[in-house]
Amino acid sequence: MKRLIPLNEKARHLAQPSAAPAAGEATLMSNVVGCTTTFDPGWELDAFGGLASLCQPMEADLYGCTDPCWWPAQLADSMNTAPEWTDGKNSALRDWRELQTLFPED
Amino acid sequence: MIVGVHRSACAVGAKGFRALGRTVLAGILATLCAAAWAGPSPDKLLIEKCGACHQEGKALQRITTMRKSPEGWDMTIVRMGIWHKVEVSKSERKTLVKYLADRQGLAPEESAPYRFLLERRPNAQDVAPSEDLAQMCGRCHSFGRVALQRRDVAEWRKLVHTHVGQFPSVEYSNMGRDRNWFDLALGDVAPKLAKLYPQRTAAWSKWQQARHVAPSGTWRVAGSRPGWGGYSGYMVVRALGADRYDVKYDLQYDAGNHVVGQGDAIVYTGYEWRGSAKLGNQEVRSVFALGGDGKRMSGRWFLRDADEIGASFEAVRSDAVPADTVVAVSPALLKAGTTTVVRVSGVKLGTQFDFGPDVAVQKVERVSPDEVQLSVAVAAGAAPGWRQIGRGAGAQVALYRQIDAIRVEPEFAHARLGGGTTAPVSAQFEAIAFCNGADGKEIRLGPVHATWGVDNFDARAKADDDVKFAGAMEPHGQFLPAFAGPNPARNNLNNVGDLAVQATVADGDRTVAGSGRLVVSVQRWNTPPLR
Amino acid sequence: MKYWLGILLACCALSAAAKDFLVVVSRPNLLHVIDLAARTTVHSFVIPGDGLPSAVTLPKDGKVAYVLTNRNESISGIDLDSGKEVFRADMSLPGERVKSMMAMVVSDDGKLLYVHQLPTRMTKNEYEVMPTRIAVYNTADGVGAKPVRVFPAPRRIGLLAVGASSDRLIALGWDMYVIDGASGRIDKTFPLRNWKRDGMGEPDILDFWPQYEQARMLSTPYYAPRTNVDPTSPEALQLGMLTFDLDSETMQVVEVANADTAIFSSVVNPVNKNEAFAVMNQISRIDLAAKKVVQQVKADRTHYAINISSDGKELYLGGATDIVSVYDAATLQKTAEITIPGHRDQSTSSLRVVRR
Repeated sequence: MKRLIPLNEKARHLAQPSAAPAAGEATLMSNVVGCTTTFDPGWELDAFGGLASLCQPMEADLYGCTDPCWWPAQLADSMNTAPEWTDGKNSALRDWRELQTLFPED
Repeated sequence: MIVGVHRSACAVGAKGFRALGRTVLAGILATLCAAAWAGPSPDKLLIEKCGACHQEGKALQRITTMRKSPEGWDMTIVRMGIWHKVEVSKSERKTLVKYLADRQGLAPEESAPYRFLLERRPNAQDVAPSEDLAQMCGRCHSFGRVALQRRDVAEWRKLVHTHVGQFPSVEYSNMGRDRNWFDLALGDVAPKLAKLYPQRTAAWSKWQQARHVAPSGTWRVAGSRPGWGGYSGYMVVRALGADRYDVKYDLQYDAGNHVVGQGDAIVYTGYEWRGSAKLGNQEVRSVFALGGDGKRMSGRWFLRDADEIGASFEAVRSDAVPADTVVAVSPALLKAGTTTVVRVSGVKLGTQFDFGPDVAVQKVERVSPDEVQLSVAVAAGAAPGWRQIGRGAGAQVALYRQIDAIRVEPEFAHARLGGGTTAPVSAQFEAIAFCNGADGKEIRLGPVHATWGVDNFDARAKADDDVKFAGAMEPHGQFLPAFAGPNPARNNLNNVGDLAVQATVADGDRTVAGSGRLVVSVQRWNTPPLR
Repeated sequence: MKYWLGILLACCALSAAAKDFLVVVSRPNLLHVIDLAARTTVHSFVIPGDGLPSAVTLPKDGKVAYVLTNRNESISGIDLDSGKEVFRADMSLPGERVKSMMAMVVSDDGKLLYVHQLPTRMTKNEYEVMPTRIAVYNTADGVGAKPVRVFPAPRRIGLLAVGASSDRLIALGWDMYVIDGASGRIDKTFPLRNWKRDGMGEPDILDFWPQYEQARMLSTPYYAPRTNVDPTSPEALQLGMLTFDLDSETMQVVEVANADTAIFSSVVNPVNKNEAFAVMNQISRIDLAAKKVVQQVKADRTHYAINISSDGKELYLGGATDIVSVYDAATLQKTAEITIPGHRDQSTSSLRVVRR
């Protein structure tokens, strides 16, 4: 994290472990399991700790994430892992409802 | 693709043999399906499903050089289905997970630091041993996913190769592009992981040799479901063979509702309890760990279709703990200067409890051999703080004079919009009361009833009026997110939102308030058990 | 007489009709040619084989578009008049999967094609990531082309360009490299990750967007921390602009604003090279000489890519969804929207402007 000043809390926390909150202080939202800290510009939260720099709407950007394999832990990546995920659904804005969740139930 | 993973051997057989005559087909099908029904032994199944790629001579490669949690093995098997189109039926998947987790699992102390991940605790804080490991591993998925595996250095390095080969973006995305990610992962991270999480450990050797106690019997249980409150009750476990169990639940919530349930469970690796049950009208799953020589069980259960909603779970085996063991006291928060009727739940309880100075037990009423009801008077001058009133972790009450602070927990939470094929993820908040102790230090009292509200978190949220679109707060502190998808009323923005969460608590004539933050974000489509 | 007049008129029309076209790709595997003056898609060619196209590069004459497709494993050259595939290089081999993260360029004369490759050897039991490299193809080799040269190259390159001659290869990765396309030797390195600037930390650059053909100026936004101010102050993180003159091989970096929002890509005005435009959720006009953002307007939606007309008068915003938005470069007012036929998403498509 030498490049982008960690304006968001998790990034700040990661960059300076000493800045970690003492017991009883605020827990950090962006350290939450299941949320990513890859801020390009971000999936749950942006690098600035808010939502304004996220793609608007997310669906505009969905295939821009799946195709180059951005956030493969949140989404299917079309490059290698789930090439059929978006078959026949070429407009994310119109077709997002039909995209299936990736992990099958046990 | 998902269909492929689920497709059973019988279905494939039926499709492949359709060209044959009807009689022949029927005969072959009968044989095939009978064979599939009986199923090969797990070791043969492993060779059959994995050997084509992983077998060298008589030995299996890769698979045999790592250890994982049951969820870790399940994700591996599913991954082989998605990546390499290996066809594994649901029952074969279960068989393989059981076989692998038993032989190549984690010792209890190895999984202990990351049980929050196995238990799917919502808004849990991820933990990494160092900043560089958090950045290298924990920026895409939880670090816990890594820490719940054991490999030697060569096998950790192979995992690095797999990552870059499968996800080339890892070298290009934020916090990957600022370093020689691949060289660093091979040269620095893999050896660190091999040291932190080695394949061979004394703990695992010891656990493999230990006698594992089966959980059959009657358990006295207690826990707390955020939004609903505390509960206590019973769990009766009956062995079905092969580490499988039939389970009955009988739970009494502090709020008054009585819930019964029935289900089954399987124990992996000698202690990893995974159950499913119908509890009242809700389908639930349980992730518990058997401990203390089979005398204790603890973990979390959660709704099958909404794992963010669930309850803590602590249990003691009724026949294995001494009489007078307490599992729960309700209510556990006693205000100085008041008299409260308190229910004590445990195993073969007597009537003597020591609440310490300035507290008088005025009346004792036996409800059952395992439960008594006490009328407890706390003097106005009683010193605030937690007091142990008997035997057992549940035998505790907190005395307070007034609530000095309210904290919303989680203080930072996230929820996800739902729609299409992805269910919404709600956020359950609790108002936690604190009082000031005699030494000036804050004492955490526990969850209390609150009135809930939400508002825009900041000026940016206000500009888009997030609070109007992101969802609704229910009276019991559960935020239900709105629908996914672009909203024409928001200039095509989704219903995402950045919200402030407020809890207001009445304490006598006073009110005390606390606040938290909630980010309502978009859905995720990849939902493995370990995020 | 009539016949000759017709020919004459046609010739006049042709020369007069030399105009700007936008070349973009979309899902599932389509190449679109848009007549910008008419705001009309004149061709939507189907690229053969498996799809999800991304990077697009064209020689100066704009006759053939080379597209990275087949999930980043193949390059298909499509003739823009006939729609025929005239070039094809499938980079993967049996047992070796080869991807490119969008770094691909054809020389201006259309003869040489450079691609940065990420090979992974795939045995049945494991993956082995191999060193990254640049492969060079002769476009004349047509369909089934094999590399004529392969040389080692640093990892993590996301953008290629060709300089003053077809053997001057510009590569943007950790640093900006000028590579001798004949020998593969790194001739010059302009430090970025390794820059030493007083009071400035390392820049962060994410750039897959080749948008340099009009001004012959490769540009990209970057973010860099100021190390000599309070880290919580607004100026602690700077938005900067990097410009690299493809002909003179000179690089300039200037900080232009306190960073408070994400920006993905930029383009330099061919008519005024001190002016750049950058895009994501906003469109920004940047005065490179004055070192500041002089105008910013909110865009209707997220765009990844921005390009400019050859006369510098119009901006084209594309990528992500199925819309190309047209803006007046002088006012940053939106003047038109062009929808990709069939509402197919452009995703990570390059947005190339050619004059033909």
